[in-house]
Amino acid sequence: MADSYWGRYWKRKQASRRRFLQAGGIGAVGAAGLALVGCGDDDDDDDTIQLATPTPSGDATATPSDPFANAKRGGIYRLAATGDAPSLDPYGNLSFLTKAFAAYHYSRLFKYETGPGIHPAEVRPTPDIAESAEPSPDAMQWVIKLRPGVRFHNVSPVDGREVTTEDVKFSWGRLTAETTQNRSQVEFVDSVEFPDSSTIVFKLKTPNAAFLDVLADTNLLFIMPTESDGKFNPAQVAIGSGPWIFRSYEQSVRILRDRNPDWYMEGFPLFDQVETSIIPEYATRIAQFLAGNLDTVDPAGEDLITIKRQIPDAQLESRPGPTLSFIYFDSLPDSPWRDPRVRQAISMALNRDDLTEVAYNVSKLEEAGLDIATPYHNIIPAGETRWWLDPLSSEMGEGSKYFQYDPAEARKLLEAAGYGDGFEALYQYTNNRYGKAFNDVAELQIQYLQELGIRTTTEVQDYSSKYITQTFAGNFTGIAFGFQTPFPEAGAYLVRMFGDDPLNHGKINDPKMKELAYAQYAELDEERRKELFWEAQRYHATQMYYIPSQAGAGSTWEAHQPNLRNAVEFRVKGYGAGTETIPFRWKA
Amino acid sequence: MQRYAFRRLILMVPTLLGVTFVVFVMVRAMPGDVIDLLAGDFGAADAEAKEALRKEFSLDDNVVLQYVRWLGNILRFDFGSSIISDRPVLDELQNRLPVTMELGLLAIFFSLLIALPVGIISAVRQDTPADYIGRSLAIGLLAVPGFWVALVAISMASVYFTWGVPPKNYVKFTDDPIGNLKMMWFPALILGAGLSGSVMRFTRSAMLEVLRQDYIRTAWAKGLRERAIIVRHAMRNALIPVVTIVGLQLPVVVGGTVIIETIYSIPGIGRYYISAVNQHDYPVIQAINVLVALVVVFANLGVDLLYSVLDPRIRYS
Amino acid sequence: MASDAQILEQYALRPELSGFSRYRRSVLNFLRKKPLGAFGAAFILLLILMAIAPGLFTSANPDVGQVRDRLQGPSAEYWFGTDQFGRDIYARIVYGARTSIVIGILVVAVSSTIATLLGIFSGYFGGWFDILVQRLVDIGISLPGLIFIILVVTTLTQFPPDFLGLSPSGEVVMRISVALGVLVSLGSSRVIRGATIAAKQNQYIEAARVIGAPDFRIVFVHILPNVFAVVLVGASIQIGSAILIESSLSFLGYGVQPPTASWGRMLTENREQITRHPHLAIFPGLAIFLTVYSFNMFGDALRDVLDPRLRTR
Repeated sequence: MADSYWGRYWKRKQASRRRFLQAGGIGAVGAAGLALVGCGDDDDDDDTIQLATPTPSGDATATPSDPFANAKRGGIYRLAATGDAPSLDPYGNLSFLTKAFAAYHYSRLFKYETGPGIHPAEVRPTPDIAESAEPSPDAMQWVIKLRPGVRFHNVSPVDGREVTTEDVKFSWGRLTAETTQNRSQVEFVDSVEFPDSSTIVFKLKTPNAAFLDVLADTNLLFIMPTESDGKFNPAQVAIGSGPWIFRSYEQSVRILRDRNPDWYMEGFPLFDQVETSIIPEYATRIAQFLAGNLDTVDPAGEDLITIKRQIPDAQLESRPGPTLSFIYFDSLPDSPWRDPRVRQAISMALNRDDLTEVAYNVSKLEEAGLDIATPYHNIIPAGETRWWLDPLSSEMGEGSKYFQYDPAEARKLLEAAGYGDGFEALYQYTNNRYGKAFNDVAELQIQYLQELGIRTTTEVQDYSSKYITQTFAGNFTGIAFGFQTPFPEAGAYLVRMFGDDPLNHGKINDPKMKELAYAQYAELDEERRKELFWEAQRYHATQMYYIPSQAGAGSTWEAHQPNLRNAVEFRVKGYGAGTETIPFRWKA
Repeated sequence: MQRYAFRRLILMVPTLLGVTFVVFVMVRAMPGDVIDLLAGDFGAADAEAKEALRKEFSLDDNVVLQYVRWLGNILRFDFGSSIISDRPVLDELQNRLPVTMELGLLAIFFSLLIALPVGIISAVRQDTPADYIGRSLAIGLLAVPGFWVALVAISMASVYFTWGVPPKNYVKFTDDPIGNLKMMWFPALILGAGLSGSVMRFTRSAMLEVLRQDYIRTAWAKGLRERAIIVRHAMRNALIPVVTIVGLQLPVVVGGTVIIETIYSIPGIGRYYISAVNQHDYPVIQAINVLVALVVVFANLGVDLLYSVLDPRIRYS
Repeated sequence: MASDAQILEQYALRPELSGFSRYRRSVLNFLRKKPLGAFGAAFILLLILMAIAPGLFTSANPDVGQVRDRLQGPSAEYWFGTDQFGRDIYARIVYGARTSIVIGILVVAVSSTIATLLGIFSGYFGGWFDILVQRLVDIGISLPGLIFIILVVTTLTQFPPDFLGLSPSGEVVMRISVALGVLVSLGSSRVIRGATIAAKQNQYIEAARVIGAPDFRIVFVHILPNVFAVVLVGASIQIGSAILIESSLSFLGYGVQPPTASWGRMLTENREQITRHPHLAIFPGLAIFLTVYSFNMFGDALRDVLDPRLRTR
């Protein structure tokens, strides 16, 4: 789909791999040098068949080394999850645990493309069980064709039948049902038509340059078989068309999944089985990894050093700040922060380096030789590398100075706004949802606010009863601090925070921001769209309606055992790993 | 005795009814709404979705109606399904309750293993160094928060002695008794150590009281050796109140295993309960409360009856 | 030839001492016979002093730190090291004593009051009142403890943050203490009821009733002193339990909130870093341990002293 170098590379890989695997690992040469081991046991090493071929003409640049050279099939991939999936039904719950679970067993129309050289923040949509997508010139209509021959799992009562548009229609119905909590995400779709059993036509109300991202979003459209309405209970059993077949779920113990031999990507997955153990306590997960019982784990901070020390060949990979933390203000007409100088002052009063240090232990990690990136969040989080504008860069313009730590200047601004003696304010956040790093940053900010002269009273709120229902929706007084929902596609940040969205936390109604927010969706050209994002960030910094902070700005890490392959090369953001990366991993 | 037991059983009924009522009210009095939680980030401002969800779970009915309906259901052993996960509560309880019970029984076993000898020796050698050391040990064990010991043990094990890392996945006792015990013994020991303090103290004071009885003085006068006196006369009588305290600890353990279960990834009732509380999952919270209340009430009755059997002086009219 | 005093002493007839000397003798006896209890008492006094006047022990600010100094081990400047914000852990322990002591005392005050009232009236009056009250107590006991507390604490958050006019941390402390106090009182009330029933059997109670003493007077003058020992011993031990439960609540996220220093929170908030920075967990753990240990030992010694049946042979 994407006409990029990597898109073409990927298509070639799929074509040649298919041919190889059909012949059982022995066979004719493909477009690029590929080699695969025939049969599967870990200790059966002698069946390697090397087929080195010259790269075809037409590619002047060198291809990267083949990720599947000497790939071994079989074995179990052992992972850990932080909790039980609240429901196995993709539409049963909004929790990321449910969505991540669904991504193993259910397909979407589109998924994210991963592979060597593709940075997880730069992934683009690529067809999953769709085959192609054609936008109309004004991007208001999209015609999607289903890939032929895609089958559901060979499990009763679905029994391996082909996926048709009936199933897509059924799934779309579930996504847009009244009880589905996030159906507002697809409200921009006017209608969906199904002219034949393999064609879908989406008609949109407003143009959306990121429409394929919407189809690839694991929070949204999973394709479920129509049998899930009555013939089996999707909350307890998962039958889809994804790369893994659901085998068992021992509540609070582990989930077992078997590879789907009929997956449309022939030859994959490489592992025979995935075992996801439910281990809620972080220290226990790290302990199990160090003892060799887990293949992949999610370390933070100084555990990276411990892991490196104990397993010197462990593979560590990181990706930049995915979640945006920000300070926001109430919308009352008499509040001090109606004056932009007050907001700018607060931003300048934050020592972002220290906040990063507290949240991410930067200096200790650097001492141990790990390469830590410490970008500053802008109103677009640093993890969105395609659209983020570095607040400290020169392109940032005059707003850049508000990201610098300058308490003296901040005080002057406050005085100029008429609050030389400071003022009282309620400072609220939730501390039982977002983890320790967030809580620490929230706490440290109290100190900076007080140093500026704002006499804060801290109110720590319960996430489910107070924060998410009231504060996050904008019903509060004073100053609030929290995380933004990690949207898979960056455009959503601007629309929610500056558009006519009911969740516009600060009820911001700035015409220029609003215009930019909606304009970027209509802009299909990527360069021009990026310019719109940059302009939004530049302008916003001069107004500081929301103050980006540093929780979520540092890198999140994954550690893998030394014998795991393609863990570092195939990475993706979001929750689609079950389909997008795990089928391609193997153990040496 | 039978009449007493019968009377107690009758009195159990209003108690349990009271429990169901209190739980039902408390759970709904908790600030926060399960619907808000289900609606999450995206649905926070979507009133229609919330209404639809409310209807789906019959939460928009009259409260009294909900209570009566729920009560009728549990009398038929229909505990409903979790609002968050749609899994039937009874299934979950059937899987998890035995696990926590096993943990609890093992914990009580360990606590007795520590508390009884220490308590008896402390009493017999009152105010000697043996007494001080023994008591310090038992109180020391209860003075250290169990979860802290567990976390330190796991963290240290992972770095310094990886053979000490507990097994990753829980295996059922019926499937693999050895494997199961391998996983459970250390958490049970931590829990038991915490419990042993109060049992030790109780044993000590019961023993002290018994040792001052006339019949013990007679035994001394007769010239019996110390061990004979302690084992054959004193212990038997001193242990009776201890039995009651142990019986009363079983329900305490059921409630107190949450943290250990979390740290050791044990799929018990404690973890299930706390996540239900965090998510305001009404059917689950209500069901577990009722179940635990049942266990407690029966345990109490059992202990009282046992007490009367063991101590012939106690007779219930 | 033994002096008169010595002879009298043999027969356990103490010569009359008055005032200060008498107290001094009791204290010295206590120290001699119950060294553990004495240690406990001394530590408790130290804690109370810390709670009242933390400034005597440290001049550092427990709430603000130098981020650049974070996560350092014990040193000359920072006796117990620093936490993740660079705050002085020793200072936080000193100020944390206040939180712990306040919670402990409040819990015990609430619990003892409720338990004594319930237990005495239930035990003394008996009948329908007794049955009813005991059923209610049954219900309370049947609810799983830790969870009951969480339910009560979150329900109490229903009240606006400045309900009692205290600082926010004061509010939270109040709510936790009330919840804990109510929970703990139920079990204690049973014990007190038992002691009341036992005391009721005494003949002088019947005698008092015969001569027409009102119930009120009987309860206060005759029953209460008997029961008092039980209450006191139970209370001293419950303080330790209250502190432990508070730290469990912190582990689950429901305890005292930042930036208040509380030993329980200090123990749990850094649990991911224990292996590399053990000092973060050692000192709060030690503080909790010594406190609970002291209260328990002191309570034990009290019981030994107050209960005539348990005195050393």
